[in-house]
Amino acid sequence: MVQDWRIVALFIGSIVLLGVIIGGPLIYAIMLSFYSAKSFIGELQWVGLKNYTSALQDPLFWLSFTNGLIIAISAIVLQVVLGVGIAMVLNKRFLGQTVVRAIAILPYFLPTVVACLIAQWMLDPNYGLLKSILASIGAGMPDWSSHAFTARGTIVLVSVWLWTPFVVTCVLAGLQTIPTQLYEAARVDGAGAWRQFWHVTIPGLRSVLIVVILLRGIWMFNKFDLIWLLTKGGPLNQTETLPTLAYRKSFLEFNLGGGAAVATISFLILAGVILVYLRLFPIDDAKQGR
Amino acid sequence: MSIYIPGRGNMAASLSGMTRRNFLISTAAIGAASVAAPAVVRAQSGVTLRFLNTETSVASQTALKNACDEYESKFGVKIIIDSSPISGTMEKAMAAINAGQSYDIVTSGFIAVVLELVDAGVLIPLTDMVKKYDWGKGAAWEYEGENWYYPFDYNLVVNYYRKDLYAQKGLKIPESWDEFVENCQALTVLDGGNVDVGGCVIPLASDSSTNWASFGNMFAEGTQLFDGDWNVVLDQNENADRAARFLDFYAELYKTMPPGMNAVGYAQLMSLFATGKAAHTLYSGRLVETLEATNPELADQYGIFASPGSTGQKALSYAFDGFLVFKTKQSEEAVKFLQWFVDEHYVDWLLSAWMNNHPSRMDIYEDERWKSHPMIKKHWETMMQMKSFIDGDGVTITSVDTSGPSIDVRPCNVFNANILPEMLQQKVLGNRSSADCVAAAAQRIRSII
Repeated sequence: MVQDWRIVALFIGSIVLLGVIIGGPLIYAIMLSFYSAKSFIGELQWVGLKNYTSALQDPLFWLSFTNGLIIAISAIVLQVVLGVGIAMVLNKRFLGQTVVRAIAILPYFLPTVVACLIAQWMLDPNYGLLKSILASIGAGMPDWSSHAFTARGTIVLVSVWLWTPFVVTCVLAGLQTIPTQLYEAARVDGAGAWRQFWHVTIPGLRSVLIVVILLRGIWMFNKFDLIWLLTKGGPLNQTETLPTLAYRKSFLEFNLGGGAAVATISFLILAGVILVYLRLFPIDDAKQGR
Repeated sequence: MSIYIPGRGNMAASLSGMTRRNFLISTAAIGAASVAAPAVVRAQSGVTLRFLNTETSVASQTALKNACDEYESKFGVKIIIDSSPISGTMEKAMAAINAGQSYDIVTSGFIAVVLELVDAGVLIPLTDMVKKYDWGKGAAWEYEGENWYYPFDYNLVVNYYRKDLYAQKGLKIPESWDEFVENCQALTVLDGGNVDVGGCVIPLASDSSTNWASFGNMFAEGTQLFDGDWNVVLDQNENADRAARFLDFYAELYKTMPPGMNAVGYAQLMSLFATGKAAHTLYSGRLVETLEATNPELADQYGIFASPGSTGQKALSYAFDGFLVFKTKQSEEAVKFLQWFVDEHYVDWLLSAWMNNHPSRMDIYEDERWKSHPMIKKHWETMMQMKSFIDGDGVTITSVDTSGPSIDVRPCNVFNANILPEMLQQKVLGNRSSADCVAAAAQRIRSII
């Protein structure tokens, strides 16, 4: 019984700590979104829902929302497809398997700022490695930062490079939980590799994939550092997303209320999408009727 | 060996004649006194000032630390220096205030930051200190009738060109837009249809570097963003024509620029010139320091000129750096320190970035110690040319964030919202007509001020 009270105390302590660390700033940001504020030290002026109506009427808000969706969906699709593929290869037995597995997850250890600097050096249109490679085969270097498609593509590719290893790690762990007897039974029934993949591997990875897609979706939709470091939202706001817009409004335009409103709307959108997603794809096996 | 002992005069003594006990006691006493002395002085003053420094080069940090150490030893006031990049000044200063640990002195370089801090009531005016000296054009600006910062440099954006390349091609310093475009075209080197060596570099990114560097030619043309009553006039009458002509001029220059202008910031403006990838660039005196450090040969081959207008007018964009004093319980001590610092160490501070800290205080140009610095001597011609820009009448000195009839937060908002950089982008990346770009920019300015 004493032990139970300790557990309850630890639980309550954790909840209070999380409430202070996460809930405090969240509530403050939501509160700020109802005020006009130029700085964190000036006087706040109550404006009600004005920051929200301004944000929702601003074409840049909707462009940022769309950009965020495009970048997040493209990155997640590529990360998951490549992650599953690489994990399946690494799940096979081969010489040097352990070393290759370690190398495969290396990019995940890189700090984002380092990865972005490396990417910028490689892709620099004047001095970059890619320029030299293309020049050696007589091709010109595209000015990737000046076109919407190439700028978004660069963000997606760098994110795939950085975070596919996360998917690989999760899927690899999931693959090892699928009983080999299921594959043997499928082979006995005449299933080829492709049918085994669709009818044994994918159902076996269902829970892992639901969680991975959910986490990657949240992280990509909220991604700020990578986009800011690579393009700062340019060209012509074509890589602006809601997090970069919130930052721009708050810390470059000193419109803290406007920035907080954008961040709050972004939070609500994400929370809504997560709820729908979890209703459609429940993680709990019991709810799936299994 | 002769040792002076208070009250006993000089005593002939020999260390060998001293007992070990006496020697140890004396040494211990001297040691204890040395260790205790600063603490005693500090205890007497009981003051510790906090200084947020945004000049992060090793030389500048060293100059500041030496001065602060000297001040502590003389007056017993300890100064804790916190150095961080200039881009985060406002956030850091606000966080410190909210944490109840306000900085006492801060260096800053953005007018918007100063005005926000003044409006929040956290700065104290330095008008009396500033008024003691003569300053170059636009350096010691006032807001609400007071000077809120003590300037130490101009970040004047001059055009750099390659003298050797000009000589090879028989070019002369451009006096008009047409001549500048012709020079840039003549110096552009193509490789397979792509620009390999740019005729010029004028940034295009949505950031402060573009706001700072890219609009000298537009201001030379006399383009106004606001009239005397703060009405937006960028898209009105002659201003609309001037701005549209500037965009057409920029679009012509853009064809001669190396790729990646949309991602060019402060560092690339210098590196593209320093590595021979661009024949012209825009920057403050910092570029000369960079050339001396990375490409000394080129440091003997550069020249500067003011940004021309379409028919010979001249303008230069600028920014400033200066010291701010915050309203704290120690403001009086902070002002005392700053006064001492600018009396005793201002020249050391300027020389810690000898060309970038282009003096805005005019008496410095007569200061023998400043003039005798070897690098100032070497680049004297350039320095005097830069001085002529700020104390003569031939060159308009202005910037996006100082546009309008007086210093005000409205042009700062235009600067911070990157409206003019995006006007450039709409022209050269969005392929919109110049008139449309100007109209859209003016509309956006109206929506944010």
